[in-house]
Amino acid sequence: MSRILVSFFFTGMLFLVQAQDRYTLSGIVTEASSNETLIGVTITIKELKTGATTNEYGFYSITLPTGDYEIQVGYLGFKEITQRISLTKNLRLNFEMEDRTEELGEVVITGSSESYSLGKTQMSVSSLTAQKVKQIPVVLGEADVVKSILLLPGVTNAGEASSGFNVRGGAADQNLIQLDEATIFNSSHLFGFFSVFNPDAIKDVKLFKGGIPARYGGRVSSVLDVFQKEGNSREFKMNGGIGAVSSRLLAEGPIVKDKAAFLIGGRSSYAHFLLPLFDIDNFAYFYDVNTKLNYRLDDHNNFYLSGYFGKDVFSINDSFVNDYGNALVNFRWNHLFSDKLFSNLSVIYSDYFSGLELDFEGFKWSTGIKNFNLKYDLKHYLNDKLQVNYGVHNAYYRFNPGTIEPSNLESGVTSDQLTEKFANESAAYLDIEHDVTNKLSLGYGLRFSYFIRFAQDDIFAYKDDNPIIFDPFTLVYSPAIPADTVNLDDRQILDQFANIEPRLSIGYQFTQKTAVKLSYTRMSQYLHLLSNTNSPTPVDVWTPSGRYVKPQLLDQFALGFFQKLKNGFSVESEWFYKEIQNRIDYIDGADLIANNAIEQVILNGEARAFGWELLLKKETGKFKGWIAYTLSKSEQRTPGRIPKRDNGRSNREIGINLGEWYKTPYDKTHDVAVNFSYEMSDKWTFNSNFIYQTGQPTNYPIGQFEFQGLVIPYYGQRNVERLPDYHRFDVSATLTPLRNKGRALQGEWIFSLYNVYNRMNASSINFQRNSETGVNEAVRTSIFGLVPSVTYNFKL
Amino acid sequence: MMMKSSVGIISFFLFLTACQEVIEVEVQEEEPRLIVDAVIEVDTSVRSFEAVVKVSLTSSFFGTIPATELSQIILYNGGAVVFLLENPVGSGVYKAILGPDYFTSGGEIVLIIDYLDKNYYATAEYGPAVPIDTIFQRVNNSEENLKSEIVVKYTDDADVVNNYLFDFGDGDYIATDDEFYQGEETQISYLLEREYEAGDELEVRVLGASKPHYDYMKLLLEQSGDDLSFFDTPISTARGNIFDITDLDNIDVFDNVYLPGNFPLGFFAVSQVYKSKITLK
Repeated sequence: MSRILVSFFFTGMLFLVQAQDRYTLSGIVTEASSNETLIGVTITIKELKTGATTNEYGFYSITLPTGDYEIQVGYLGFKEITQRISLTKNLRLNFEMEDRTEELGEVVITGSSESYSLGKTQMSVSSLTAQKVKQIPVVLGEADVVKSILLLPGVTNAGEASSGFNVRGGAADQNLIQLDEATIFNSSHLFGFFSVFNPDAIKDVKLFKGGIPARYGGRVSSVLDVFQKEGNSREFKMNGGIGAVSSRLLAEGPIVKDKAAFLIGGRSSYAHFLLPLFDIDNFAYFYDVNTKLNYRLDDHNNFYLSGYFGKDVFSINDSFVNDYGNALVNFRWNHLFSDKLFSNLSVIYSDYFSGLELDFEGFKWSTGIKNFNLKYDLKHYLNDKLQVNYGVHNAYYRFNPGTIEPSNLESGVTSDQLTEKFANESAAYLDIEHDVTNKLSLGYGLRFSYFIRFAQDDIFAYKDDNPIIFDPFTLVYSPAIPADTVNLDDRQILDQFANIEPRLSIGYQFTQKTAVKLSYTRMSQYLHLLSNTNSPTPVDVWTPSGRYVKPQLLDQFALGFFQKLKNGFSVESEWFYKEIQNRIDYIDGADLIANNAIEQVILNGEARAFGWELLLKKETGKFKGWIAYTLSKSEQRTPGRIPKRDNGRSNREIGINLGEWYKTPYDKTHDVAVNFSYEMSDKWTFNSNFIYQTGQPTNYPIGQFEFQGLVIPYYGQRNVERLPDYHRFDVSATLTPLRNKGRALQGEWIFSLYNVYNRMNASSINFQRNSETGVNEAVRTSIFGLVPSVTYNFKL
Repeated sequence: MMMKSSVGIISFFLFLTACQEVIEVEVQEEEPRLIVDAVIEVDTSVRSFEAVVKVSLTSSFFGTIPATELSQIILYNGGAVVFLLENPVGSGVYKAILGPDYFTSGGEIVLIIDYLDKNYYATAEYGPAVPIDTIFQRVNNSEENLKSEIVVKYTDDADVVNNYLFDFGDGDYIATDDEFYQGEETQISYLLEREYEAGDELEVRVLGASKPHYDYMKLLLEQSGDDLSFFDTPISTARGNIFDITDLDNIDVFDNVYLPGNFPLGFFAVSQVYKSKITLK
């Protein structure tokens, strides 16, 4: 099937290529002052009502018939460039764009470049520039990528002090998070107070919620693609900030002017973050470092070396210590085979580690995942109607589920290594962007993914191949005791999975201002984060698919309506429906910490979500912002397994939660996010957020009982009730002193108030017996009330 | 393995950063359900002891739990049937005097309860424990506050898989298994957070638990504790090992899959127990 499709594509392409005399216009678009490439700039050919956008490396290419054209180069926040060209041979044209902030007064957008992207098939995507991220007020005054995307429709999280984010009712581990093409396995610092992305070091953030192109794979909910800056190759610059919780400093500059540049940025929270709230022996802190080197050898070859290292530590009385972090190194080579054929080779090594030390039990546990990743991606700009992207990816994983060591001399704990696991994930894809007519465009692609689980040292074998036993009388699932332990040769294939993942999107542009888009996405996910909490924790462990853990498979349909209005307003409305097969679920009381046989506590189930998203946006003018609303539902179900034995009995199982659908912890019926900014003068800019979310699903007791001196609330089915609704309002004011003008040091002050009306949002409600009064009570925990903060940022 | 205590500590962490408040919550209720607290503590150092089972009924979370009365409750070890009698009458506490041999002679112990028009059944395996080697109190006198720790040292039995429940009274337990210290001398420490006076006695008991009993206790500890959002798992009914056999005729009905609502709460277990006392300073 796939072979026939591929040959069909190429035959079609050959036909189109040989049509008439055509020449290629290509080049790189950069920001004038820093020579930093710009992503997503539109280059519009006015006469043909067609165009191109720059890719992740600032490159564009378009092939047109011979002729004279007027070209417009447009990018939000920058001055538009208009140029006349005469295309009689292949032309290399680089553009340098200037920031529009230096211009005074209202800027009128011509709209031509905007409507070009409207006609493209890509939907369900949100882009944020680093500049926008920095404007959004967040708790403790620190700009943050993940906190910013939470303001978009279809994106929520479990509230304050929770890691990760949920897209369209999906789990946090179903998001593919990439920093400069390298996968990040944990995106949070300090339990979600911060994300791992240093806002000073990043250039561009894209979140794909649906209609995900075939070049992405391996996760079933969304793709968060973050690119770091390359470094200023014109002049040496420094910037930084001093905040209430952390400070940061970033330096960048040329090594060889216009050819090679470096960037190094670091952040650190103060060692005694939240100290006043603790007693003296406790601390929590994080730090991270972003580095990048780039070298532009010639017009055809660019090299990039980037690195990220981050670590979190928190400790209580030295008796409880948790640390975790990501380290990654990434080498990339951009090569232009021709004006039309762009390639990028990435070689990535990443290491995610996490450790837990419990001194009172004399126990130290460390876990991690090492990943060696090779990607080769090509973008073939055939002509103004057709772009073909193809490539191969390969990732080799080494999982350490746990190394156990004694934490002190008195401890009786003996060192132990839980069995390491090995896997390889490879994929090849072909993705075609095809403008069939000026109004109709198609995106069609196919990703073929292949996953191998290699043999490991100790493999448990179970009676009847059943690692989890169901008691038909007490109706309880419990772990089976392995019948045998098998040792196989290293590198022998234990299990393998292959999936064909078709992607399809259709865009139809009715007018310059109105478009309808439709997409279908199938994706597979071979790695699973073992977590039975509402949001990920640093002690959660990633595990590969295998005999008992099947790959998750997604089918998502999305339909969108896009309308540009007057005065910079636009409306986007999308509907989505998705189903996920093989979503793992945990039996009641599943213990995941240092568990060497995870198959004994999980069952394979399914999940589904559907919803409607509405985004009303104003992107230009002094008054900017958006209103996002999402109505959605997210559920999961784990029915009992189908009986294998025939002993005259039914052998049926009840499954988890009696096999009935239940709300996932990320089911938020209503989600409203409003973000507004107002540039009052050159001196003052104001920003505000309002967030409202239906309360997170949880459980309230339907009774209580006593057992062995414990008073235990007794619960019914899973996630029947909800926490109270979550809402808050934040404001911030940015002061740019007027005396900055003409000075080398440019400073700014950001004053912010988080949760202005001091709402005590419940992060949880616990039902417990008060040990002093002996009375049962419901206790609400809230993380933040009103939090004022001040941050000082500077540029040099 | 050692989940409970780590949860406790992380809760402690968040507790300090967060704001907690008692609030009014409206809760749903269901028909009262039978609760059976049947952990038989086997003291192998004496010739006979009381086997005690407590029965009561569930109530609304904010109500009180009433005792109840059974029609009959028996134990069976494959040899002898023993009837437990309510003492004092009306307390819901059923007792029988038995020797350790009744439970340690090997094989499953069966519990059968008749209550109203229902019959309930459970089996248990003997959970072995080990004696406490030493127990002492460690007082950390830091500037800010006084912290008192109870350290319990014990030597794991190398020949069997052990699951331990250390009971410090007041519903404070530490659950730990020997997966990572098989046969080793080891220790646990318990942070004494309750108020006490010097000279008070604290009894520490170590109960041996079968794997199902251990898992059940861990689930209850998780559900009764005040752990916060970090480790909040989707909680639902903690089902024990006692089940309804009233309708199981083995002709048409072989299991309870089609009657998932008919179950009592609680657990039947047989645990070896060792006790140790410490005078607090």
